Amino acid sequence: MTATAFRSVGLVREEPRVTGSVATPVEAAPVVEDDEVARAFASGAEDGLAQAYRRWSPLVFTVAVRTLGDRTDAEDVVQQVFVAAWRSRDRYDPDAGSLAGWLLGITRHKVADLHESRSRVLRAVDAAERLADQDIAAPAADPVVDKVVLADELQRLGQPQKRILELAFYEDLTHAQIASVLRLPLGTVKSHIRRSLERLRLRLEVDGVAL
Amino acid sequence: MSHCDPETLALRSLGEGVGTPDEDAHLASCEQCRSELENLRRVVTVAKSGGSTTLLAPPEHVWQRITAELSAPSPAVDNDRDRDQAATEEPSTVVPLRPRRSRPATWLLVAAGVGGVVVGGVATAALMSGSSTTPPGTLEASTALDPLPDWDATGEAALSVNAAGEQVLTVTVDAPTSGADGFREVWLIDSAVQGMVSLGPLEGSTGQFVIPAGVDVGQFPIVDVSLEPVDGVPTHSGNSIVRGTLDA
Repeated sequence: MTATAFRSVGLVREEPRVTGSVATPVEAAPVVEDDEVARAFASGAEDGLAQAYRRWSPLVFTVAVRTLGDRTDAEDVVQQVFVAAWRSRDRYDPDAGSLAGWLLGITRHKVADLHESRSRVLRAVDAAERLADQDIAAPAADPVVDKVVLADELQRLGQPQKRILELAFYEDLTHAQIASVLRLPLGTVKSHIRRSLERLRLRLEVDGVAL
Repeated sequence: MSHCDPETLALRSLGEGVGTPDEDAHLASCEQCRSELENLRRVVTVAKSGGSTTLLAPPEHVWQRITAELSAPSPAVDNDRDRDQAATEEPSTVVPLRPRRSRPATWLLVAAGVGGVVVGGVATAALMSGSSTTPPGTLEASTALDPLPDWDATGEAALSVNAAGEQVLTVTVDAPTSGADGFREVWLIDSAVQGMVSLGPLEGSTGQFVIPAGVDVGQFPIVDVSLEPVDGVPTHSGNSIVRGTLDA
């Protein structure tokens, strides 16, 4: 991992500045299998884009908001990503990779483009005090992408798996404490933790950047 | 000994001090178990960094902008930033995104609803001289009008300033009029295809329209001629015949 990537981990911790309209938190459970959505998209089916948008626009939007820190810019990125993806859907091969991973690849490009144009603006605005190009233009969306991909998969875990992992990740509870809090057998908690972590690892391998 | 218990590895990856001394010894010597643990640790590290993440859905108007952009096949509407993707694109590959309802294409209706920028209307249009095809005064900008899919027509539009200092748009469309289908209407649309201004009906093959004061053509550079059914609905039918973008 580069120094740049590490620095941007700081971005993850920051709450993005809110400049646009209020976005809705996503709570909806998945209905259609990801593979089906991807195939509908690739085949150019009439509602292929709509399905893909329903399924993955929160992923794209959240990555963009967290990387750019600006909701209006993030909305533009979402628009650019889905328009570009639909127009070049012939180049997407469902057998070669996940549609989410492909969309996130486009997202990273669009985010990088935006950083680039911002840095141009910065340079123009104040050439005398400009920072080194790398300091301005480093998008390093990768840790954000992985983080959001995991959040998406976590969202899709059923209960009590989701709650178990949240307690383990964010409350730092041990499996014994979780079992006690949720009144579940110890063995059940352990087995849920193992399976859910495996599932998250798999998702990160498929759609993430770092692993 | 055998490999580490997967559940124990998972708990270890979360930082729990579980596992027997035997397992510790095995981990130290077993590449496979170490790598498994390392992979799970990475998941845990990413998940824990920065606390819990709430996924946000983009606001509804983003989807509407996407459908609007994809339903407007004029190359002039394509944004520079999408040039690489758009270069390979043919208008004919754009398919409807939502089930059709009563009107033939919903994108402009949607755009009008979103932007709320339908300014003026037929009443503000002034048909100056139905027979003149020459832009009056000084020419400011012009464009060829290219047919949309399903149409075999061309035309041109020229923006000029007349002696009174008004901006006048001269529009010519060379396709036979068919009164049975409805009438043609001239529109100015913004680059984002979000908002539009009606300049009024086009009688015959050419017409001149005074741009209403306060309408900035730089903001609404797309000239659009639509076919409007005589249904009393004042919004764009979604059925565009030709379109072009004025170069300022």
